[in-house]
Order: sequence, then structure tokens, then C-alpha cells
Amino acid sequence: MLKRKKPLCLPRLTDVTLMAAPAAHAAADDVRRLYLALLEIGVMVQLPAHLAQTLCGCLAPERTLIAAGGSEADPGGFAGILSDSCRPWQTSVMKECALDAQTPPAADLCRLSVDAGLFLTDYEARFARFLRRAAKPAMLCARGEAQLATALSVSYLLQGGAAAAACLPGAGSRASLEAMVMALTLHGEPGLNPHALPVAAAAWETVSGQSIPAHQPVLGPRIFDVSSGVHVNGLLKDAGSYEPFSPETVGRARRIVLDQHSGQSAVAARLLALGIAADTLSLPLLTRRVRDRGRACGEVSAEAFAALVRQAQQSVCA
Amino acid sequence: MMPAVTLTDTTLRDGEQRPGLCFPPAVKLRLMRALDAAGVARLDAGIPAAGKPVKDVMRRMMAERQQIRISAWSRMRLSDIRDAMDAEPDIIHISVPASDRLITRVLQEDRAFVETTLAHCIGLAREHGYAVTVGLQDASRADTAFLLRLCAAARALGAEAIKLADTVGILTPPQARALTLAMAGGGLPLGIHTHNDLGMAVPVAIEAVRAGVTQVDVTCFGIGERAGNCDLFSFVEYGAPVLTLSPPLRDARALKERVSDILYPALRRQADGEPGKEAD
Repeated sequence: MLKRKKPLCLPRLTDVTLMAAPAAHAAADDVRRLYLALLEIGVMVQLPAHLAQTLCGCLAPERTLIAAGGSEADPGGFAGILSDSCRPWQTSVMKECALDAQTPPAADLCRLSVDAGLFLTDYEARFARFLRRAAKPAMLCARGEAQLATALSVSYLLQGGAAAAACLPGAGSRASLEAMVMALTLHGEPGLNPHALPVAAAAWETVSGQSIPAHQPVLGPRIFDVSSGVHVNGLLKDAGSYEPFSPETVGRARRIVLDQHSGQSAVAARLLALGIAADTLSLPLLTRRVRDRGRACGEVSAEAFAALVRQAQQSVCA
Repeated sequence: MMPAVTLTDTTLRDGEQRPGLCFPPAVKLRLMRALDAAGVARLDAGIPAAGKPVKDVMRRMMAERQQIRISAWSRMRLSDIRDAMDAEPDIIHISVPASDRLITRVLQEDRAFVETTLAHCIGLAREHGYAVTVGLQDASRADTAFLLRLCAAARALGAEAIKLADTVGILTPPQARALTLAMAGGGLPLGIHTHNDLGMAVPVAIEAVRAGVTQVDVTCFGIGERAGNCDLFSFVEYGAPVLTLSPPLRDARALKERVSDILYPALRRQADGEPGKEAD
């Protein structure tokens, strides 16, 4: 039952992770956790209608789009939801619109579905023409190679586009939500909360049964590992020198890894962490041995490092 | 018509900087041969200042290679340039801290020091007959006017190309285009070195090429520090409709399979996080 019409004022990023098939088979608690974590990031969340019923009771009406078509392929229109009764307050307001359409459809929100291959054309000029003509806000939904979809979507929003759809972690050939959150945050977009990304990522892992890859941009658990002598030295002097944003921004911590690339700064930092004064041994000698060990083994383990330190200390005593 | 693009593979330098990753010398040589046979133009083969093992491998590469040009990466230090010359490469690539952030906080110097030292480093390498390319570190956060000054100096001293490094991976495609266009007046061929921190290393590189960049740094499978670099195979595949490679890449699919076989054991060991296990 329709209650009232409101003018739309949406966050510019709309997450469509829950439109993907795995969510249909996930436990309700896990879906709820993911939904709430996505809201915490500060984005709009699009849901298929059946999940709206599942989530009734915790739905945020102003921040939720219900896909009337119910599937990723056919989202149909959308409706907001009254959290107390699950009755829609607004329906059938999203309509598909072509990028080069002369007359955009009469709808509160246009859905601009594009292939990510658009990136290889004069996309900026086409976006500019579209935005000049568009009487209503339009949400870009780019599909194809995730990197190209992300690049297109970021560019669209930076050009003044009203909204763009994205998905954790770029699944379903969508723009990557976490990359877009960070790109927009670095450009001063208000209202986004990257601190909430790791909770959402963990919830996504539960719902999808997949793991975030170790070196996935923004969320990968090993992206803040660092071993290069130049970079460790730089990071110890200025934390922003060789990282685009602090690990803490996305709930991670930096880890200094000892390997063939390690320099004296990294070795000294590790000694300090162990409570060993660097002047009790020959730092250049220890660093050389760490590098040699790294060349043979990759990462030098804590045990191997302790053994090298003991050897270096004995060399000084001898 | 878009100008032809030359690829520089940096798997063995920036790629191997993925913490814990270590390619044994035999793997490095096999990769060089595979890239050489496929037609990749340049190989950023390592950092000779890291020690004798790197120099030894690079000398063997120089002895074995067919057409690929071997480049030695060097910090902006005279001692590093001498180390690079020990490896006897085709090219010495000098990496210059170019943003005020790196100059003042990390190098703890000023712009004048950078200009002077760069001139000395290029001078030393050129004096000994080496081709020189210059990488502008952190170009995406640097003052464009200063980048142009460095570019002019490099050109006057005989450098053959300038590489714009998006060191922390923050460029968006429109910014990459703007930076490239701003640097077009520098009078040297431009290269781009992208990182994948925002998941856009490949499209940012493609956009830079569309704006005039003619040299692109790539790594096999996008491996590298943090979230990695511009993936060679994605760059070639996604960019195929609009890019012309020079020289053309012979059978990218076969190269991908071959490289996968070559690198897989080392990548597997790093991914499994097995510190302490002896490499092959």
C-alpha cells in the first residue's frame, strides 16, 4: 500500500552485493549482519524483495532499494520500506535509461546499465552529454571486467553522476564497492565510513562462502605487509609515504616482513620490537644475513630471525 | 591514431617486492627467456645495489637475451649507479623522489638537492655510455611544475624517457589523463607505472596511453607490493580494442600459460606463507 512520495536524496554509492545469488541461500542472521555492515559504510543497499521480508525489523527505509524484479538480471523498479510494517512507501520509480537516449524516461531514478567496455570509448564526453540532458538522477550500473567497471563508475561519479552501483569485492563483474569507497573518500566524498569495510567483508565471506584474496585492493589481509628496504625506511619516517591510506583506515595493521629486500631500518625495527638494542650487534652484518636467508627462503620467520640475532650477538662477543 | 605502446615487465623488480616472494635465479632467467621470445620490449630485471646475486643474474640475462632490453633499477645515488653499471645492463633506470612529501619527509632534503643529484647520477651513467630512463616517484602527488623541471633536466642530460610513477596507487583515470597531458610538454617519451591500490591499475594505464603515454610498466599477473601492479595480461586483453603494442606481443595466451608454469611454485610458496622453507 502506498503511503507517500518523497523526493529522492540518496547516498551516491549503492551496494548490490545482496542481489547476487549466494545471498538467497545464506542464513538469515548472516544476511542481516552483512546488510547492517553495508549500511554502516554509508551506502545505499539494494535488495531483492524476498530478502526485504527476511530483513523486516532491521530495514533502514531511507537507505534501502527493493528491486521489484527481484533478481540481479531484472531488478525492475524499487520501493522504500516502512520498517514497522514492511509496507512500501514508494514504488516503480526506477527505469532503465540508455546512455545516448535523447529523452530520459520519466522516473525518480534512472538506471543506466552499461557494459564496462564503454571505458574504451570516449566515455567522459558521453557521460557529460548524458548529464546535461538528464532531468532526473541516474544510477550507473557497469558490468564487465571489474577493474574497468570500477574505473567507469568512479569517473562517472567524479563527473557529477548521481549514483553508481557496486558490489563486494567486485563480484559478479561489478564495480568493486571497497575500491570505490576508498577512491571517493580520497576525493573528499562525505558520508562514507571505510572503517566499516572489514566487518562487511567478513560478513560477505560468511554469506558467499568465499575468501577475500590476500592481495585484494583495500581489503586483502596482506596488502599492508611491507619488506622493501626503501619503503620500510620511508614508512618509519612518514606513515603516508608509501601507502595510499593508513592500514587502520580499513581495520588492518601494517606488518614489516623480513626477506631478501629488507634493509637496516626494518631489521632495527624488528630488534626494537624484541627489546634488543641495535648497538649490541653489527646491524649491517645481521641485515646481510637476513637478506641471504630471504633469498633462500622467502619470508624470514621469527624463529629464523632469532637464530640470526643470536649468531650476530655471538660474533660481537667472539 | 593512438601511438604504439612499449611494455616494460617489472615482475622481477617491483613484482618481487611482494613481501616474502623470492624468485630463484633459474626462475628469473626462464621468465626473461619467455618474455623475450614473446616480444616484450624491456625487462626491469632488478636492483643491482641489492648485491652480487642480482648483478650476476642480470649479466647472464645480458649474455642470453635476444631482443629484450635489460634495465637496472637504481635509486638516485651515485653508489647505486656504480652498482648498476657492474651489472652491465642496456638501460639504467634512475628512480627520483619527486613529490615534496618524499623529498622533505623521507629523503629529508629539498628540491634543489634532487635536481643536483639527479644531474650527477644521469651524468655518471651517460659518461659510461649507458642509456638512461628516469622514474618520477610519487608523481601522482607531486607538483607538476617540478615534474616538468626534472623532465627538462633529464632531457638536457640525455635521458631517453620519463616514467610517471603512481607510487601509492591513487590515480583515477581522469587524473591519469590530466597528468599525462600536463607532462606532454616535457619533450621526452612518457611512461606510466601504476599500482592497484584502488583496483584500477589497468584502466589507469590504458587511460594514460590514450592521453599520450607510450611506455607502460606491467607485471605478470599484477603481482607486486600491497595490491600489486598493472597486470600484463589484463592490460593486453582489456586494451586490445584500442592499443597497439610495439613490438606486438606474440601469442599472449601461450605466454600466460608459460609464465604461470614458471612462477607458480614461488607464488604458491609466498601465498601459503611458509617462511623458512627452502626455495627451489
